[in-house]
Amino acid sequence: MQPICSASRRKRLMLALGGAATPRRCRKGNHMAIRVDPENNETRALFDLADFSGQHVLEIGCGDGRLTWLYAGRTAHVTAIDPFAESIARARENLPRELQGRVEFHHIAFEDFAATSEQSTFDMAILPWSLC
Amino acid sequence: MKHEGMVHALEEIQRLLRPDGSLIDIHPVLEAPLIEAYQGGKVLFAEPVLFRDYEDDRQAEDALAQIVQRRLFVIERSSEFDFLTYGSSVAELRDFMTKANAYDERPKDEAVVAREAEQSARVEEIMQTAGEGAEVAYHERGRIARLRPMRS
Repeated sequence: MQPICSASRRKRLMLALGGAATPRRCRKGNHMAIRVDPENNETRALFDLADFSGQHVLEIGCGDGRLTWLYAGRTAHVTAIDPFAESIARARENLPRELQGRVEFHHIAFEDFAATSEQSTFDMAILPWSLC
Repeated sequence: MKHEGMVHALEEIQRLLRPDGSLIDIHPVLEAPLIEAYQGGKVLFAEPVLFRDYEDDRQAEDALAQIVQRRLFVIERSSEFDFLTYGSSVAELRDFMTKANAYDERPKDEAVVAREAEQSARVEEIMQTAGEGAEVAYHERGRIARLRPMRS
């Protein structure tokens, strides 16, 4: 069983709204009216709590990179991982040009990533709604 | 089993962090999110969602509590915030979430599905009556915490 999920908040939302359980492929440009946290409450709470300056960050369960874009510009480097290939593909596709070289995405489950990673590698780890 | 997996993941995170590092955890508050409808900042509709599976979140909270109790991490700061996702219709919002992160395959009770459909229909009706500019939102509370790894 996978202890680290991808964007579990959305899973819950999908359940609450009675959505289908079967994944379907996203059509590009199909969600123009959807707005996620336009008030930036999450961003404010994050920046109030964390100083990203010069930090090497590991984001676990990054999904499509929604949160990654918000803070990555302040870091030294971000390693963002997710067990879902489609999410990582979208994240790579949408990576802003100014963040290229600073952010790397990996399609990998956390336990596999951890098994091949050395101790004391990161300054910060982020679990963005993903411990489930 | 799942709880043990989460605890193990947190142990691994502690190992990967430098001694002066930090873990930022964001997870939902264990209370019913709201389905809301807005128009021009005015609330047209607000009701708790009819189905919300808290089990995963409860296990996650237990796992975090356990690693704090074992002094693998100490909580330095935490706070809560409102987190809203807006769509121009219930169907659009549902479609977005399904396509973006279709994940859970647990079957839902038929009665719950029927009640959700009825709630969605009421929201849609209110929005259609309100006309242009009406939006539906899924409103939940998030909790964010900064934890510091402890080394023996």
